[in-house]
Amino acid sequence: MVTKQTVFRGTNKAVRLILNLLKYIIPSIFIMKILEHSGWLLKISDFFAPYMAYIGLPGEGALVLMFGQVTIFSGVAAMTILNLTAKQLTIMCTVMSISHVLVLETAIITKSGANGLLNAASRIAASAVTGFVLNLIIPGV
Amino acid sequence: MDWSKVFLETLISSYSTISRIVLIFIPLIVLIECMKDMGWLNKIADRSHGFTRLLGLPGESAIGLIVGIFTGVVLSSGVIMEIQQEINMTKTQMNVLFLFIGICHGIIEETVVFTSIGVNGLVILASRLAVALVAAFLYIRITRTIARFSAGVETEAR
Repeated sequence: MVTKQTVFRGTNKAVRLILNLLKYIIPSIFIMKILEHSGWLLKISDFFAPYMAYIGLPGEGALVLMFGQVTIFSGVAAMTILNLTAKQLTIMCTVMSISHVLVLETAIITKSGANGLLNAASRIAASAVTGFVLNLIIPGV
Repeated sequence: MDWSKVFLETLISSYSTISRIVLIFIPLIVLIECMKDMGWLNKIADRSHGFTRLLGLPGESAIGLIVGIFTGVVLSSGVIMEIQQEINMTKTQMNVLFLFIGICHGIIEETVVFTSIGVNGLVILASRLAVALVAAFLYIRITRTIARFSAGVETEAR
């Protein structure tokens, strides 16, 4: 039976869980903001730029993917500035939808009791493979 | 580096993330508690047994999987931590569950965001689902092979 007690218990649980997760959410966001403002994000994307050709993207694509690690919206905003073809947009969006905001999500996943490192590594690998395959099978430029 | 900007943006970003989580999370957990009290959770677990067994997961994890696929990692991890206290999944099952959710989560919000800049949302959705399934199956296969191999080594040592 659903009673007042159920609602109380649910709210109580939810607040406790949120407080628990806050310890992981705020530091992750802070780290990504430091990376963004100190210019390290640019350095990391410069390192990955030559490999972008494998998934059919221009070198600046690495920067967009890196901004996708801050929030998905900043990634989308960076994407609209670049002049991408329809095929490149599709590849970029799919790759970014698989591996985005990795720092925060890996922290949360580790907290919940799964292997975060395995999770992050397989997400990066999966996005690279997906980009490569999509570059092969999508017709056009 | 402009530290004041870093702190300010961290605050703003955290606030928007947390307020979104609070707005969805409390009603969601209350809803799940209600469903638990009415016995619907067991029904959902029974119904989705086919799909979760495909991934080698217990039927009770279906609600975590559904929440994860439709909302996001943060909310689903909260729900899964709740479930985990009751059914105690193994480490491998947790890894499979989060591998699937990690690759394929928040399909409504993210697909809408990407569709708004002119991308075919169906392509993204289909490839994410396919990749998540493939990754989960690969992980299950690899862990099984490793387990069989190490078991074989043990029997040989005897």
